[in-house]
Amino acid sequence: MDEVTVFTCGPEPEDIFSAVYDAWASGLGHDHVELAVWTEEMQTRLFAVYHPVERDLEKAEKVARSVRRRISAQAWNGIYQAALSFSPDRADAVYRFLIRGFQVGPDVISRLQDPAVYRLFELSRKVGRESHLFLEFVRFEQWPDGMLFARLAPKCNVLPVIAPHFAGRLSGEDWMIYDETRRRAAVHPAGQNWFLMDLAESGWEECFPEELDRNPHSLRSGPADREKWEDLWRTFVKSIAIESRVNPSLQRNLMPLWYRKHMTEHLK
Amino acid sequence: MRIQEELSLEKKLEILSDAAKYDAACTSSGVDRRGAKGTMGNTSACGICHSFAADGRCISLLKILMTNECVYDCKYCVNRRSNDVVRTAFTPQEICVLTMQFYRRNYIEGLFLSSGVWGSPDATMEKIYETLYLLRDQYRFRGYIHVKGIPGSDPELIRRLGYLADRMSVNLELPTADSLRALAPHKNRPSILKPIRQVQRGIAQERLILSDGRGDFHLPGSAGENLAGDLPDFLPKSTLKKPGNAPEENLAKEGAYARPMRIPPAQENAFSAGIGAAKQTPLPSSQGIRGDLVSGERPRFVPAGQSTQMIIGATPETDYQIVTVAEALYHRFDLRRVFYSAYVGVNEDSSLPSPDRKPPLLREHRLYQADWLLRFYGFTAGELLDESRPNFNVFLDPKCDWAVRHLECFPVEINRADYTALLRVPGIGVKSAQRILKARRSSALDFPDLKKMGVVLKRAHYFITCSGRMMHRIRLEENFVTSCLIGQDRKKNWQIEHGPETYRQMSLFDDMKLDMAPTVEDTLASASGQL
Repeated sequence: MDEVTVFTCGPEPEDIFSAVYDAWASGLGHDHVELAVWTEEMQTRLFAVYHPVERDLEKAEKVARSVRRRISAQAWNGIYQAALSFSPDRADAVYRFLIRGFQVGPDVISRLQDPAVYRLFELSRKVGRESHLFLEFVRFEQWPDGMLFARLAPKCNVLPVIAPHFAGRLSGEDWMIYDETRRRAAVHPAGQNWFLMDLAESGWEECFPEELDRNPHSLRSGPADREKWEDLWRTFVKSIAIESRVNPSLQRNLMPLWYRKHMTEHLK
Repeated sequence: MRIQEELSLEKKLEILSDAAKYDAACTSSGVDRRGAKGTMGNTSACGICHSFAADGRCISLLKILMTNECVYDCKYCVNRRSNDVVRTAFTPQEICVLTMQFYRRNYIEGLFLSSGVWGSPDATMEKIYETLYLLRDQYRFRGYIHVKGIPGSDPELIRRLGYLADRMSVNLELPTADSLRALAPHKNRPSILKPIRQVQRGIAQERLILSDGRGDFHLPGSAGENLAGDLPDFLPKSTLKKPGNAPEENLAKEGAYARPMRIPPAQENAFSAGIGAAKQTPLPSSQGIRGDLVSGERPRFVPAGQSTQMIIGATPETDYQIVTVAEALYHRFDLRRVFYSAYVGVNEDSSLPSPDRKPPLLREHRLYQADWLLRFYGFTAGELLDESRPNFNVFLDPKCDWAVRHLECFPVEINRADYTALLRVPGIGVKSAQRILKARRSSALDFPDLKKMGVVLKRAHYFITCSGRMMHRIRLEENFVTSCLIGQDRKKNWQIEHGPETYRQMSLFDDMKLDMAPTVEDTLASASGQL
């Protein structure tokens, strides 16, 4: 049995692209390497060598550059988005796609009949869909200092995809979108660039334990003015529906229940 | 005075959104506009829904009426003069604040402002104009605005409004002029078509201006004809018919774009910036017109195009008449969308179906399916229906129905057929046809590959071959294929009509944007920010 070397890496796209770089540069041959995002539950195999990869922004940037140059911007978009999915095989899927991509060139993206290409397409589409739904379903509430705060519990790592949208839209506002699954936030000070902030490590969460962890509703008891707009919104959502067309299963298809966790109109 | 000014904002919102809910359109698509410093908002061409109401319809815009007061007495309308309902009105400021506060919390994509006719069409449109001007100029709102054009109002008001709104719509209300006469005594077909024609011309004129000096933009060849045609049952023909060929000539003759506006003295201050500039030039200059525009950016006229809606099932028209009207609206009036609204009985009236009757949802669904076939699949109304078969098949969707009646066009060979032939296959959509064309360049495709491209094989397999082979050995015979297809759809069709159901009203979003990926630039920007 041929020995396989598994390059393990962290969960972020930068980690994955660093591992892609190392696996490629190892010279072991594509059939003898695998990539895996390291998790607590990962089952290690007996006949495999595990090789942890540290995040290296320079290597990741090199991967990004050569994908854009030798394959296409569209392919880069696809692998970046796939790397944001929550599938355990995402790192390996990116790697298998790139093997084909560097062979074929820009045309690779349309070869859906190729399993490696199709897998990447599936992952990227999933992230694209979920991100689009969060563009729709993010709900901000205004904190006493005027900052707009939204929390989500996404499955995919959607912050890097949705933050630029809100940066363009709400350029004059202080806002923050908190991903409670990954305990990090996209932060946007008014008039400046947005950035990602890891809140699990920063200790920031401990300053607001009430708000962030235990009780999602506690934030909502505040100055009357803040609640006023939320109540008005709930009024609107109710009165805009036509009674004789009521159709909960259609509503559920378009807005699955798990997305509603932090939506203003479904609280209270 | 029947208007109640004293109601709370919440009560007003409840009344004026409830009164607006029968309008079908709630799309925010058609125009990409980036955000800008000092303003709030941007728009996305694919459209963004923000919530879904209990009826499953998308909530994208704050859909409200300026007022539910109305001098008209259209029999089908909940706001008709003779109905005894609480009447109220928003102030322009109230609408602006609501829009801004909802928008910044990401509840909505923008505003959809309509209104009952308050005094006169002009008076109502002036109020709407005042509101949109305030929203763009003072509140610096750069998000999406859909506004209703009110038939019978001054063309100059429509023109001005067109530079503030992204989409404008004038409701056709009913599919034929006869029905309109019967149910809407204060409205007539010519007065409805006039603003639609005007907006069409405005958009066409702007395309011509955009093409100046670039030399890379051409109006479609049919443009001259486009600007002249009428709706199938339009009466009387003489009043609106334009004989001209060149669009420029028509526009010059029309002259609506250079006419100065009548300004009621009381409104002069509120409008001053906009009016001063527009008096001198046919197009507003980029300075001092709209506060939401970036310096150097030229205001555009109805950039997301215009739409209209027809009420379905209140009057005796056939499906054939309805799709023929829709086709004419697309071809001769360049409409972006036609919406169909299953009639919801709100009034007791001898000339209307009983209020107890359920809205004809399956019929509405079939019309939307046919509408898609007209716009994206290259079908014509005459192919789908004709005088001898004037209504859609209850059991089969219009595309399957066409296919089983035209088995001579099938089977289609996946690895050779051109795009138009692929699009005619039931189970193959725009996206999957495009994917097939690209993918088959590298290797021949087989049935499992088609599944990956998004082809619905359970419908498509009767009509296609892959490298000369069908998926199953079946007879390509009308009765056989029809009964197989009907068996598949029976449950779904029953549910659409009787509910609670799982069908989805088709929308651009469902069918055209399967990937729904953010733009490449956005993702690149975020990636390069990080890497």
